[in-house]
Amino acid sequence: MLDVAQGLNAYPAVVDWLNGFMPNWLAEGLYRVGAGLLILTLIATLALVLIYMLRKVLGHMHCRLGPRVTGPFGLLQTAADALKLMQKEDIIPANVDRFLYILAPYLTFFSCGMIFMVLPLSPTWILNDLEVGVLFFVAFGSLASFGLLMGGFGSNNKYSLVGGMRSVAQVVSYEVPMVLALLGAVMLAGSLSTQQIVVAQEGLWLGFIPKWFIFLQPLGFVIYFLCGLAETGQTPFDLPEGESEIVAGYNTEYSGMRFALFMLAEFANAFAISAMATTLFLGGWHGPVFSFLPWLWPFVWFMVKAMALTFCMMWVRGTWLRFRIDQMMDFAWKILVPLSLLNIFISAGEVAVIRWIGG
Amino acid sequence: MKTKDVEKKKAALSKRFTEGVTFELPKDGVLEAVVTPPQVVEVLRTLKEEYDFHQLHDLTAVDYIKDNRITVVYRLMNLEKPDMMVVKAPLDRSQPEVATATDVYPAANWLEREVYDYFGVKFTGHPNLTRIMMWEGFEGHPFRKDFAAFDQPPPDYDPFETSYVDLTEGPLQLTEISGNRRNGNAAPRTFILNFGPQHPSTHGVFRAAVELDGETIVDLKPVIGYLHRGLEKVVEKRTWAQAVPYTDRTDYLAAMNNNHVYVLAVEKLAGIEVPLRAELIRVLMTELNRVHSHLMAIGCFALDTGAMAPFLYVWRERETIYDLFEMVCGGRLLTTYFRIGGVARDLPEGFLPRLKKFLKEMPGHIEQYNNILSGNEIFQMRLKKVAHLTKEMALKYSITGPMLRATGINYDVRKNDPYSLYDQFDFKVPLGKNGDAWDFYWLRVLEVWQSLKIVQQAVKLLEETGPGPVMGKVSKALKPPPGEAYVHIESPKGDLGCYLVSDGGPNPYRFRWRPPLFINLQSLAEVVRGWKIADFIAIFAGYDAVMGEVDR
Amino acid sequence: MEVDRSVEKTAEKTDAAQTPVPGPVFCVQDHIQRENQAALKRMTVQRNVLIAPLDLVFNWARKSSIWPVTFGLACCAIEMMAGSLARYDLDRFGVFFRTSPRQADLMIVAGTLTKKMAPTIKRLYEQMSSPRYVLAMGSCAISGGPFRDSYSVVMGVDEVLPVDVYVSGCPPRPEALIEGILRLREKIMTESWQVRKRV
Repeated sequence: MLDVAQGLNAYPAVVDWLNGFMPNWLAEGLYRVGAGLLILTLIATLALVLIYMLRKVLGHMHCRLGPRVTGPFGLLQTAADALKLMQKEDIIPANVDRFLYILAPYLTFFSCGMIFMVLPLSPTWILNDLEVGVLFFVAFGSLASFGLLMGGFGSNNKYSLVGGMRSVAQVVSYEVPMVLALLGAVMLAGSLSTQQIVVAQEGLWLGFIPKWFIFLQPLGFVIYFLCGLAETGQTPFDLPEGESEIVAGYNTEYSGMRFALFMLAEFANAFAISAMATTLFLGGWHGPVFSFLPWLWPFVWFMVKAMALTFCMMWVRGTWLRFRIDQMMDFAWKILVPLSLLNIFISAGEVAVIRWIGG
Repeated sequence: MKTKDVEKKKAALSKRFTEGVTFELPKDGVLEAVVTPPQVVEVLRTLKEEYDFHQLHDLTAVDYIKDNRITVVYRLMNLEKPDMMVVKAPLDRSQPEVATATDVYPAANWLEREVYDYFGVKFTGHPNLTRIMMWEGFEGHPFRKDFAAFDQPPPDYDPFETSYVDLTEGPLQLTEISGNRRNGNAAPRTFILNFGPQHPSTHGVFRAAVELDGETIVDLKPVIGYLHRGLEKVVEKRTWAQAVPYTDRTDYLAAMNNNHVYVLAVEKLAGIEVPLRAELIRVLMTELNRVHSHLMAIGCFALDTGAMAPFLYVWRERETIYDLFEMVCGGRLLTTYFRIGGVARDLPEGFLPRLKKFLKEMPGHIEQYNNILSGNEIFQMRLKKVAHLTKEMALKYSITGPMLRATGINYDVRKNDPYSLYDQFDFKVPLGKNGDAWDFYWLRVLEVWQSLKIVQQAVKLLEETGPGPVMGKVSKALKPPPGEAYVHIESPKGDLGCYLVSDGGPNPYRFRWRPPLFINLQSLAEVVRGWKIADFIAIFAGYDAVMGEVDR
Repeated sequence: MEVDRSVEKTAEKTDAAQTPVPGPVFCVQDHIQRENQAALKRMTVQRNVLIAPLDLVFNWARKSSIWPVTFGLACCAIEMMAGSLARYDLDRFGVFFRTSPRQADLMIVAGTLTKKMAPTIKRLYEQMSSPRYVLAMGSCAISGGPFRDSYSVVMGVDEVLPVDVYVSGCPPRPEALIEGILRLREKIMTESWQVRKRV
């Protein structure tokens, strides 16, 4: 337990190591720049993989094949898409609110990048293990909706405006049950630090059930996952860019790289939500560690769990359809909020029972 | 309707209207009244109120240039009996003017605008007599015989010039609806959103200017005519046989049904006998086509409410039907399989076994749609109790097809006015109760079942009757005798009619398509008012609009 | 059995009625080979060591990811849908329909263009970000087709827009549309990043 906890945070270890041969300010700076680049690379790679995966998964769910001509098994498809989007003309329509219009994709991308900072990918791989990691995640998760609203409002397009408004209504409503659902896991772990929450899920009950919070908090997990779908604008909550209604929603007017940023952020967000669900409910990087490359296995388990959840999101996308705006709001305020409040009582009871048993 | 009853009615009517109205009874048993223009509204009102002709079935005009008159043709319908009646108003060609029928039949609104657009007939008192298919500023009235409709010079567009000529309607004038504003604020809280002509779920080039209060639709103005190709006019230049491919291109999802109504009309006009086998094949094909058209509607419901997968699943079965069509005629979508006097060729070898296999598999597929779509609770939430089409509204706007039956009115041309061989087949007409979007959807699923049932019976009959000729005796250069014929059938979209006027020449003198969708669409504004944007999309999917038929 | 397919050349090879398999695989590979050859030819002819490999990569990216705008006019739009759906699956080539013209590369003009619609379609084209392409699908979009002599039909979309690929048929089969898109890929492969003009 202790040896794991020691290396919880990459920050002191790396900075200490860098301090050995350079001044402190340079080490700090290098760490930050490196971390940023790492996140960017991670997000870009993830998005490439996820978009390819989405197209393949949806393809097979639709009785077709999905991309298969570009590269072996179509593996280079998203790379080609990205490279093409870079070459596209960058249109800034007349009469847009230039400040908002230009800033919006960057803000969305930035806020989703910040979430990756507190994701515990493995015992040692976390960029910054903040004391308030969960709070940080919630804060930046909702900041993304500002980007969408800015894009929607700044585009001077009515479809975009409706999309942006829908997005804000959705995020604001679903933030409430989401935070309440998170609280259950936080109460059980007794910490807001993401790494501590994962550590708290170590061990087994009765020798074979992993001590994941999902077994204590099934309701909390379901509420969190549904809210996560809403937060990232996935089906059945894809109202902000409901294709059949408001064309492409907030990103109707965006072209080229700006649109690519929105798309990257969307997929990275979907992954971030899954990753956070893994952290909070599915035991994070816990899993059997084999002697071969022992430092890699936690990361593998983390990715496997997160990807499985992302696949579930795609599965939902392949089969379900879209709520109407009032039904969506009803669902948040009339069903999810009371249930998540109930979940808090349940978790309080569980904490009391665990303390009573464990002394 | 028995001849006796019609004669009785004729006698009664002749007594009622003595001056300016003459009644005729052509051999097809549809009573005709020729009315002088000032009396039209009065006659229509009497017929509606006293004789139960509560539906304006069709309103069109014919330009008789030799007699120097334009005749406006009103076709009235009593859905219960069913009974049809024609009212004709010959107008002076140089100054055609007649009082509007919109007060009696609100459905006349768009139809009169269309006649005004095509023929320049002025309907005095019409609430909004503007062009509907062509743009404002278009010179002349294309359906007049002296209009140089053909071989127009190409428009002078410079593809690389960026200036943009707006031929569409000017600034949109939406009527102010005060009832729907929630708080009597004087400040405008609504904005206008333009759906289409390019929009993923307007099913083509339909445009709807929607006035929105947040997400709620305050008012809606449909704009059509973006696919107006002058089809009916083009056909006037083709021979009778050449017109068959054009009928495909109206409602391009139901090519066989369109062929059917046209060939039935020509056969009625020219008195052509059709062999039994050909007629059986026709029934089989039209019902298969109904299945594939309804499948498309089901898929569009899914797509428009946000589900992609069911749309692809229905297309899987549609492709099988396309294969079957391809076997008989080589075409997939636009088949042009029917000929005047029969069908193009006999069923190929291997067709019936393949069809039987399809019929065997199809129930399982429908079960799959039900599992993935109909049983989905979000889908039910999205459709149930959304929109409320009442019986009164349906009659008021002359709505036909599945939408009419969704309100609970039992009217299916196949049952009520059997044409072709439909009186020999055993099938039911599914009815709805609430007139909501769910009924629009569910009726189509049920109708697919019924159509499959008919196809099964047709296969059985085909096998029982054995081989035979599939073409009747038709002269190569067909010249039907002067006169006119009207035939209507139940197409997947509604009551589809074809009105032909012949002057004894090799081409149709007037070719009128009674477009069910065009007439149904009039009700859109009233049906969607007060609902959300998402509901509008779902309801519009219920219209199953194909712009090729709306605009022709 | 006799199946009439006088229009379609590629489909003659297999009897689609019996084996409902989409466009034959060898045909696709043929095309890709041809695309690559065209690109290689460019490289050798141009002899610009710096630009040519860049062109190769950039063109490859553009040809592999053609996003058409979801836009149908008439009958051909149904066949266009068929092309992107289960049996024909244009997604294999990375063709992925976008609803917003800003994010699209290709406009498939599927159906009759009327004079009333022409300004709208032109505006739509102007909304697309370059490099952009136009594919005229069906005889109406090519020349007005059966409605050529009508008073309200534009005689071919090339009266209004610059067209890159014409796909004939009324309506063209989805295989024909796939072939059209493969031809477009070929065309993209011969372009140069250096001289590409904004149209």
